[in-house]
Amino acid sequence: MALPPGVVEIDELVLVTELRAGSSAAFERLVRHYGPPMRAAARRLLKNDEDADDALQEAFLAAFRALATFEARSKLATWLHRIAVNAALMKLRAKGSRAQETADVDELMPEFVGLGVFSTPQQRWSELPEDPVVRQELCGSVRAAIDELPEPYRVALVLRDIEELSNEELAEQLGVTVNAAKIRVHRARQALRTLLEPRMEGLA
Amino acid sequence: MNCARFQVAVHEYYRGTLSAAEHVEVETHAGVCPPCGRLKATCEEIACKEVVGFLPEYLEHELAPARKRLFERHFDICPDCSAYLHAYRSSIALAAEALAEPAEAPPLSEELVRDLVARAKKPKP
Repeated sequence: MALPPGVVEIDELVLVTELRAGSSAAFERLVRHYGPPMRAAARRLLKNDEDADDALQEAFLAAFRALATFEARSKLATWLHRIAVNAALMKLRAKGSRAQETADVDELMPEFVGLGVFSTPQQRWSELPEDPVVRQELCGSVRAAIDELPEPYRVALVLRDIEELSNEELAEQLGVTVNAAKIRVHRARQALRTLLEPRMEGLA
Repeated sequence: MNCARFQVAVHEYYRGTLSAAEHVEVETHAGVCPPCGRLKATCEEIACKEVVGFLPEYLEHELAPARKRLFERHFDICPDCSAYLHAYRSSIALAAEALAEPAEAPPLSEELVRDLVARAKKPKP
């Protein structure tokens, strides 16, 4: 997990020792140092600031309670990041987002005919633009397209391709089999590809 | 039918969009021209639908070596699957780029920091 520039590297072992001793100054350092990227991870899943702040609160409380189980050989940043993602997922579940589980992306899947050939010729996408302004604008379209995905697909895509969970970790988080998790990510990526297609052809 | 036309028409052949006459021409040409015959045979090794269904396994190097070679032969000759693979990879890369943390994650508000520190002093039972 990248730390914002200007944030000084801190000695994790010293920090953890101080935290375990109950130092509130150490806790404040922890919050200021690791809070921003943890909040960004929660916001990616929850999509709004208020929920992200709530998830961050829950994450730090969970981290505080679990400090005794933290093993010094793992990176504190990675451990906290995972706790933040878990807190955001719990918040998503609490919001009843499972209601959308039935939403599907069938109409965004490629179509095949006959013996399994693409029903229409596939256009090759142009290479990604190098101009930073165009690129930034494209990223805005990509974020909008990701937000268009039904929630179970959006969450699977974010966890697998942005948070880089393994298929096994993803399956555990989603409460489905590894195979079901893989299929959901594949369908999410295919749906995103279809949503981006008009934009990418425009760039060609 | 010449080889250049065959290379385009063979994909339309499997899509079922050729005229009856061209359909026969593709079969005739494949029968008399060994390289084009091999191209047609490669097209028949695996369906696009199956290739697309296993893209994650292909990209994550989970296919057995022989099956991986089969996929690669298919990408070499199938412009549709090759374009689809490129777009699929680009979509993953764009998603990661679009949602990447900004170089400077904004600092937490002072109010939030105060709340977090205050709550940590009184952890829930």
